[in-house]
Amino acid sequence: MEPTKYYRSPHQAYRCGLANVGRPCPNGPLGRRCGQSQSDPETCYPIRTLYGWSRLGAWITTLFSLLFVLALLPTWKKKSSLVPGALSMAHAQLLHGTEDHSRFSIKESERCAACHPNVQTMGSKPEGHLASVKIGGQSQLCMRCHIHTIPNGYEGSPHDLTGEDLQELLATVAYPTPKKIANQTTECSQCHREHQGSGENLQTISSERCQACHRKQFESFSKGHPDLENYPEARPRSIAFDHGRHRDLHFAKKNATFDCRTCHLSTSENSVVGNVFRSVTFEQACAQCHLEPLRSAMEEGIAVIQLPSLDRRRLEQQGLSLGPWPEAASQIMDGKLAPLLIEWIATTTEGREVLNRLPRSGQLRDVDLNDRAQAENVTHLAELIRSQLQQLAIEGQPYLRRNLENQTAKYLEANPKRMAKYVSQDTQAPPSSFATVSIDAPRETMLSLWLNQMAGGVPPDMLRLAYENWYGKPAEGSNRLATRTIKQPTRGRYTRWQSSSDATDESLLLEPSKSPDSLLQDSDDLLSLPKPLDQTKAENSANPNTARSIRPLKAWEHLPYGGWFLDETRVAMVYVPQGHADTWLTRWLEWKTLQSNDEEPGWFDDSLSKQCLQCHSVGKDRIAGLFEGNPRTKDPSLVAFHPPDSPSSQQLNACWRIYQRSTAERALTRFSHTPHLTIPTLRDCQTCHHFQAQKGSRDPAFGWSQQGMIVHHEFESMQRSHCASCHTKQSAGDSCTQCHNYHVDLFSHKH
Amino acid sequence: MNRSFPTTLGEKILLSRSGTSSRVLIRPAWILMLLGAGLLIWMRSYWIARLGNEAFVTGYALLLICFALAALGIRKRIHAFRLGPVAVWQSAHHYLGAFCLFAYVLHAGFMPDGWIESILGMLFWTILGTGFLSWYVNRNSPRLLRAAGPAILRSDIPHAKILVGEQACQLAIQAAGSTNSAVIADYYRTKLADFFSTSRPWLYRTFPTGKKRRQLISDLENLERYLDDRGKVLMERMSQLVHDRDDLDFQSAIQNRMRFCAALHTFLLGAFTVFVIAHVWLAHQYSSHW
Amino acid sequence: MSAGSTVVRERPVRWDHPLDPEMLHRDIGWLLSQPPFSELNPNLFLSHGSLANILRHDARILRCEPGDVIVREGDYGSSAFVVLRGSVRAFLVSLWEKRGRPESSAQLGIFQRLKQWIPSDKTSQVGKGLPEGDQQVLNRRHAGRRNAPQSRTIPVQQVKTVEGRSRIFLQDIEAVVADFQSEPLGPGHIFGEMAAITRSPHRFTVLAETPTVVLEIRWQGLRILRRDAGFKEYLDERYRHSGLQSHLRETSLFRFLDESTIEQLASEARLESYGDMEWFAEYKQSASQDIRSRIEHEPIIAIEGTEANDLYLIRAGFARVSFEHGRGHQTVAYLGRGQMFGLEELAQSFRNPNLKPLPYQASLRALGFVDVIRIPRGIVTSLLFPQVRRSELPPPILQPRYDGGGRVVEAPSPAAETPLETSLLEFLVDERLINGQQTMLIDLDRCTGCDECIKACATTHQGIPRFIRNGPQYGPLMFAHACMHCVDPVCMIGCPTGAIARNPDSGVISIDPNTCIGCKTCSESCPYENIVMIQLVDQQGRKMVDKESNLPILQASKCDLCQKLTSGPACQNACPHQALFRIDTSDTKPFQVWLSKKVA
Repeated sequence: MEPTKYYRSPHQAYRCGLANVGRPCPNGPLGRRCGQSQSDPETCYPIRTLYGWSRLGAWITTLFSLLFVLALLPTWKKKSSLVPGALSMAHAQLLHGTEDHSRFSIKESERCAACHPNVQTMGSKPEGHLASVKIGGQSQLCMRCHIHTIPNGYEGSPHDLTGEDLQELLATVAYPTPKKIANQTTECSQCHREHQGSGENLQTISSERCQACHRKQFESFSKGHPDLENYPEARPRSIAFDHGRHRDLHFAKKNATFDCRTCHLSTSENSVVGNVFRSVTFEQACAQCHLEPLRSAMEEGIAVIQLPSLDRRRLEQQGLSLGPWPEAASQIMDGKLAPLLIEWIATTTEGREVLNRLPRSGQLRDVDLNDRAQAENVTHLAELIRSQLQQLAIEGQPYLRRNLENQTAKYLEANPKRMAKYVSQDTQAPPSSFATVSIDAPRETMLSLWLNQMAGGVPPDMLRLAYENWYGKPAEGSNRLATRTIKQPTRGRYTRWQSSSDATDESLLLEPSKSPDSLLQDSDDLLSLPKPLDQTKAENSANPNTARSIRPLKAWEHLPYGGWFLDETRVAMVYVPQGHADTWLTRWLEWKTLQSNDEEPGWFDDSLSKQCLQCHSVGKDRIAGLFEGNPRTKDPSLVAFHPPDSPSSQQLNACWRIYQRSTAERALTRFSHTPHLTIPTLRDCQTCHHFQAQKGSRDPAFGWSQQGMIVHHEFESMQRSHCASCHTKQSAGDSCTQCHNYHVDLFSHKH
Repeated sequence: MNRSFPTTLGEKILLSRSGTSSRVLIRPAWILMLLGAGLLIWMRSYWIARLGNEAFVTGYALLLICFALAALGIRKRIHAFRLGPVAVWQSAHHYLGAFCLFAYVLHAGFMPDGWIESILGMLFWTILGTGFLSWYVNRNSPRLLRAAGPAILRSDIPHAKILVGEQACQLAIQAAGSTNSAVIADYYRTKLADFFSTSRPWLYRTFPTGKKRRQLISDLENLERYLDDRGKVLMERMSQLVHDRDDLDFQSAIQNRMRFCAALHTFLLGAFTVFVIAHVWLAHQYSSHW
Repeated sequence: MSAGSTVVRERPVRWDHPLDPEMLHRDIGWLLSQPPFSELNPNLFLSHGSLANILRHDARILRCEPGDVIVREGDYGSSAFVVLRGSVRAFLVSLWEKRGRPESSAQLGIFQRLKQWIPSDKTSQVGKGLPEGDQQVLNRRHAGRRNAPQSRTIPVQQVKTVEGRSRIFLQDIEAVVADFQSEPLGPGHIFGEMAAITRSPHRFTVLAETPTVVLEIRWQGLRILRRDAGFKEYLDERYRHSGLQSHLRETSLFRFLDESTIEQLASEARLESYGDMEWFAEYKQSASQDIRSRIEHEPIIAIEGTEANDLYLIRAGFARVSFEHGRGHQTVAYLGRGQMFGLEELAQSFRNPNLKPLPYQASLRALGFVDVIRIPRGIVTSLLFPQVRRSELPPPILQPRYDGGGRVVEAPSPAAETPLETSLLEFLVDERLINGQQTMLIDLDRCTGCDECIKACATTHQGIPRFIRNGPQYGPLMFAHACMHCVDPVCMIGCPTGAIARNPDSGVISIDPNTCIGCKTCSESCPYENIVMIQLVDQQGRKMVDKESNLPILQASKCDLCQKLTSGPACQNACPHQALFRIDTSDTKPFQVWLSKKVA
């Protein structure tokens, strides 16, 4: 058709309405109204073009979305409106828990602010921001809750490690890590991505992230991963158990089968290695062989307080009077001072002089009574002992405890390092402003608990009785108190003694095995100690009403279940332990260990100590560490079994138990037996744990001491190839985080 | 006289290339796209390796691409500088658009959740989709337009329709004059009248076909046996008019379809920009590190 | 819209629009007593009534003040002028080194460029953008920049309105006359006729020195007056001396000829003109006829098969080269200004003189108005060819269509040797697209009708596009209604103010909005309807109206090829589908190249 002579302007928002009939206004519309003036013959009604419509639409949508965004922004501190994605389940529960139920619950208006510092005050640091803390505001907010699982998180340093720990770590990295990364502080969100949907597990970290620092990149675990050398690495054992020796010597001797699972299989999985005991109880594993010798060793009991026997006659020849001293211990110079006595005497200066004048060996028989000075010293000693015992008899446990405390204090003062830790506890505690849940600091320290148990184990009335038996009534000086305090307990004593004696009689009657000749046998045993027997006979005859009923006590007869008794023959207060792991015995041994010093041999030469210490190794350090009661103590066993800062009698026994690592402790490498044991071929432990030839280890005895604990390792290191046979991307997975922790505890004691 | 008409860079490119548009651009462009993709992936992994938030890398790359895409719109408004012909820019725009898809998926997967993000995502998909659509429509509309008779300006079509309608009406009146050709008038009254006066249904406007035209014309031809020679002539002219009218409808359908796609493609840009700005700002506010 | 559709327009009748209706009898009587009319033989003009009748319709009397510009160098004029009283000055040197149209070729500053793409809906064609004062300053500045040595005064043009027609005049002509070499023309002198007849720009400027009376005769009248042999001879002589020789020198084939040869050629050459000069008025009307009858109606210049006695040199207009094919005539090519016909045949006979010379192989027809120069064969072979390089001679005709024996039977099919397919060729000719040098060509195989080109055009032209994206269509090729910057710019004929002018450097024809008075002359004379009159509106889009008549102020607008932009035509750059091109259709070669590219 004929193009009429006017220009078309398709890019106008309006077009002339008359264009449809072929004669548009010469200028076209002017905006939305006709360009012609009223004078003109015909004016048009402009039509909005598609161009116009689309531009109108553009404006409207733009305006609308602008309004929408502006309307949304004011609520931006409040909850869900701006959330880019669903939170992971744990955090979601945390944030959306109702106020009254969840103790972590957060007000709805502060939910974003709980993790996003910028939301509180634009761009500025979050309130309570610590200049000392290196990590950024958001990570600090994370640490509010995670400080207990990631104690060193505030450092933000590689693997949460600082100082020599970090250096040690860096030293182990095969390829030198760039300094800038080593000094870099990391943020939580760099690896843990939130808002990825509720199904997302924040702990799945891609191996790429690890290799940000670990530049020695390798294809997979099977290809290029460093070999496992000395894994599982040798760890200190508080019990010197040698698998190899037991299998080859002892089990072989009794030709018993040496099956790992009898001891090591467990059902609980709170162990870091999964449902496998690294250690087993005495009863389960050791008792059948070790109980017998232990029993026999215990029948003797321990002479906790024993009077040395002094030669009254020869002293009188010297013109010295021994003073009150039990007859049974007045014949010859014999025996040596019990450790408790020594410590007590040593509390006073003159006591120390007296002790120093005693012969090196500590054996009284070596005292030369012909030497006047020594003789005097002996009488002096006797004097001191008596006074001490008197004090003890009068005051009882408090006195004992005070003494012990002074001694330990002395020891701790001797090592100021320990002292410091002992005095000021957990310096590592997080700043209060960040601890949402604050766990109370301990009221009583481990030390006090220890002292209580130690002192509490000793029966005071027996102390009195011992004193009476040995020295007669207490001195006038403390008469009133004595007379008053003695009555009640003695009656009680009688009843108890009665019962106990009855018990023994019954036991005698009921035991057919106790044949007359066996009695004779016993009597022979008695006869084997003639003098004291005579003495007791004489004493008994002295007061007839008791003479018949009371025979001198025999530990193995009267106390099969342990307890205290006065041994008249030995003139001693004896404690008979109640089988394995007797509480007071352990305290006693610990005390002894603390007091012992190496230049005095035979400190533990009694058979009972030997029995205990051949398996248990309690070092001074560990005991001292025990007292520190510090959650981050060097003794892992504390962490292992107990929440930090809560002293319990169990915890006191920690250094006797085998240390069982738990999930609470995080090493660089983690391993759990549980999934592996589901695989039939792996059920046999020896598929992985091969016994090692007994040489080539750190020392010929195969086992070395570390912090008073024996380090044993009789197994060959694992082979990477062995693991890699399953651990490939396809089958068992080979990501870094499958076997490695990023957040670790102190690095050094993993070695 | 010897004249020196300005030859722009664009003209050189045009002359250097032959045949259909951007046939020369193709190979380099694809190579460039592959390189770009490689670069993007590398940057992303590098960012991950420095423990950064890779979303920022891909995000800013995406932003950059969006700017580059928007550059076409700006180019179309600048004529004063030697910027090369729009054709070149547009083919670059197409390739960038395809690349943009890749970058987006790398950045946000297919659909993010969260209010702003999902709205942004929807806007993005709409714009991208309409972009691809109009690309496709633009590709084959010249062929269709050529098929539908002589070219006509979109703004002239309404008038043209009116003219054709009038002619048809007059033809019908003329036919009604003689009894031998009255059938044409009847047929006009029954069928053709509203064919000429009313506009076609939506289905036709979106997917125009020649079905209706064929049907009407064959109907007309069926009338032939009732007609004398003069009537036949009228019938021929009438069917010609039907043909013309259908061509006009076809033309307008095709052209409108194209314009509509283009309009859809552009009119969400403002909203998109707003949400992009909001998104970037929030991302910076809420993330602890880059 | 396609080639077939027609314009209903009745043929303009001669003299229904006299040049000057107020022409008075006594004036005419007085005129007839004056030379040169007194010397004409009145009997020759009886077919048109009388000489007086001719003068009444085709002439008018102008009264000029001193300094009025009667003829301005570079303008396309359609009239010759005769000095009746007073004296005028013809300047032999150029007053403005480049034509005083600084704004036409001036580039925009960067800020103006930036301003252009700030989108504005207001279709505000800012009319008369610069007030006169600024215009002068602008002129002065540009002229000053161009004009060296600086000592010369710079002629400052100003526009004034005389008898409702605006006219240009210069200030202080004394200084101008003193500075520039010129010669006075007294009563009886004729000037400006060359431009009128050959439709070429004026070569010199003519000022009124004293209060002067000149008679303006439009070329229609002039042609009739040429029937008087003496008068014609007089005119041709003038042409031979000034125009023809320079024209011959412009012809590339003759560039090695020495002066004497040129002069001899000029003296021997015969000047002829064929057809009607108002071709653009009649071709549309004849467009309805079928091509065959159209070709037969075209005035024939040389007939195929006849003895080739002359070399035809096209001086102005277009000629169709065709030959009989079956019962019709097939177009082989079209010739424009400066092209030759019959060269092959003459060269053939020059190469081997002993053979019988070939007759014309094709016939030459005038498309509308054609001026040709005929150079006799003798001179061509004896003088011309010896001085022309062999390499520049056309290739020999191997298979002549005609030889001495007349039509050769086994002639090759003409299609083989035509550069473009004939139908396209004839389409170009019929639509007179052969006139275009910057024809806008839209490839419909790619055009989606997205109108980006129009947007671009509008933004570069204050919101109004300067072309219509539609037009004659040949298969997939659409020749849109955009100015083609024609070889023969008929639109420029009769522009009263010379607002529409061709930039001599770029050849771009543009309308100066500051001097256009909206007289519609160009818009109506453009045969392609590529000039549109638009109403002027102010910044707010209110339309401007004339003070007295209260009619809207119109202005001619057309494509100016964005010559203000360095980046070339915006429409072409803006096309996203490479569908829009500017192509020189006056020559078949670029078209051919482009087509071959397109098919490839």
